[in-house]
Amino acid sequence: MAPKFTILIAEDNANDRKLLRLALQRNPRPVDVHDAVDGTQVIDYLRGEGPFHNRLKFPSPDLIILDLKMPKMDGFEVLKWLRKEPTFARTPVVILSGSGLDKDVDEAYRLGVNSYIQKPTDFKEFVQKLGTLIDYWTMVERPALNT
Amino acid sequence: MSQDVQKSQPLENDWQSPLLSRPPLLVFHVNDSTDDQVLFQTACKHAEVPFLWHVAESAERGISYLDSLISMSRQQPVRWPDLLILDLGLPELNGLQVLEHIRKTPELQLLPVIILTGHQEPELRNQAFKLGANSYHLKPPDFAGWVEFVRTLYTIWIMSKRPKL
Repeated sequence: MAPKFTILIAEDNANDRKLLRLALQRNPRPVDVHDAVDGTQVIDYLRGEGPFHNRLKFPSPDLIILDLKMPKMDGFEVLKWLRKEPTFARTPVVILSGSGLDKDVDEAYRLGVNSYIQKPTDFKEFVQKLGTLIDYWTMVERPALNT
Repeated sequence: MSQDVQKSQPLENDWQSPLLSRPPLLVFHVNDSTDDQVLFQTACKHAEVPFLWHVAESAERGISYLDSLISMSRQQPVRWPDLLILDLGLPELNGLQVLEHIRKTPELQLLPVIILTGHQEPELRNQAFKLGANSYHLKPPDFAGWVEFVRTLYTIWIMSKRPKL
């Protein structure tokens, strides 16, 4: 059996996190979903520190879905940290943000994001977009960690 | 403009599928295998995805075409590719060198690059991601796989915000 596809959602808005989980549950492909509520929690999760020390319970993600506007450390800062961190420099990251501003999109690609999706306001569209996202990223050959 | 790049013809369809009514995406396909080019293009027609494509059969021709776009963009607006689909096993210069060139060239550095290759070596995959590939795919094993690949590729990139070159 193929290993479960693990997604780390970095999103500070509790309603958006609920919507994301709901949308991901509607996808037929089983995914293992974990949450971080701000940028520093993303880093704690990836380092396996604090509440995330159990790697079996909190495995390294195959994909990170990252919001841009988050407290403590925003999505751009997280992305900068990730791309400099040897272990996670190649982990696929998709921005899921309410912002569709060109300057945010270009900055995200400049910092090495793999793709950028603007949050839809319609739930049906949200489910469809997340379904496509999972279809696509489960099709991608994933880089190995720490090599 | 480089004469070594082949361009697609508009799709001919009486019936408009839901995907065909969406905006086209321009793909620049750098691949030395005629079989792969034909498979990709036939799969696009079969999946009814509105990809338009330009094809270069070597890394040198690909780079020369991109460089000619840069020169032309200094005089007039140009149509940049929306995506570059890159094979790795090319004669002379390889695909990773093309990727490196793209990421080091300011006008091209944000261009989404999709690796599509038969090479399964983890080392190559890691190097491609390290150099800034947006995603890495193995060539589908059969035609149904190609159709699924082009359909998913189109859908993800038409719904994504793409950088402005």
